[in-house]
Amino acid sequence: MRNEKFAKRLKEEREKKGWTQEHMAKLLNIKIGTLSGYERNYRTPDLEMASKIAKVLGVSVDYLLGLKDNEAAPWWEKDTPPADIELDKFIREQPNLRIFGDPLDEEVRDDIMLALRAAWEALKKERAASKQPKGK
Amino acid sequence: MLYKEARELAKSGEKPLDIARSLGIKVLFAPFRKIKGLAMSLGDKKIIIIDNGLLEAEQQFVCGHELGHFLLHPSTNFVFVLHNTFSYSKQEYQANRFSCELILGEKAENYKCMITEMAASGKLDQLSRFVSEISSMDEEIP
Repeated sequence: MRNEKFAKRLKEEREKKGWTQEHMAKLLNIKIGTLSGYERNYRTPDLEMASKIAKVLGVSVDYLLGLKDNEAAPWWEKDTPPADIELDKFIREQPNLRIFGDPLDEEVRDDIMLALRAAWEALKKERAASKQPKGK
Repeated sequence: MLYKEARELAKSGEKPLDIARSLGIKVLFAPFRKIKGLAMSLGDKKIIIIDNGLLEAEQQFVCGHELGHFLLHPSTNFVFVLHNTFSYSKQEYQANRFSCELILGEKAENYKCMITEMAASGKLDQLSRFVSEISSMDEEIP
């Protein structure tokens, strides 16, 4: 059963991550041709592969299949680590970062990326802890 | 007026790191190369991240500074970055002063001029030394 929406969203989400087909195929442990087939709506993954795809992309299967229209969760609420390209976009959207006047220099940009990743990590831990209220 | 809240908070006797945490702000540390500290809101989460290479007194000061941003400049609270030497914007000055008041509490009253001057100069090492010296010095004088 073909699904136009799945093919489109798969490609979109992969590109949002800044991943090549080659990179993503490697993560999924499938051939490039197979992935490319999915994206051209020429092939359809089985259920196991569909959930694996959703997982590496950090989106829900519902969204990929077109059962749900927006994947609202921002990067800091997802369980998959944010890609550089997502963080870059986030940083560019922050008006206050122009506070130095100059465009961000390399070192400052690296520091901010580090900070964003640390924040992601901490929030992920917090979510995990609230899901499992047992322990100390 | 702006700094009234800092003195209120200072009454708890806690240091900025603990005050921030008790306000529900996450305080994290990271090995930064240039930035001293950063405050950000991600959705409804408020997070302060401090350079872990700083001295304890400096970390406290930076934390107070970032906390100042959250409380004084809530409309622009996305991401604030603190540079090597603080930038000379009005907001940075206010955050510096907030941090001084937060650490010194009522004692700040006696050092108004110095605080104003130091906050404007924006040198982190001097500022943190200044406030930590005063806050510990006064404890010895009954």
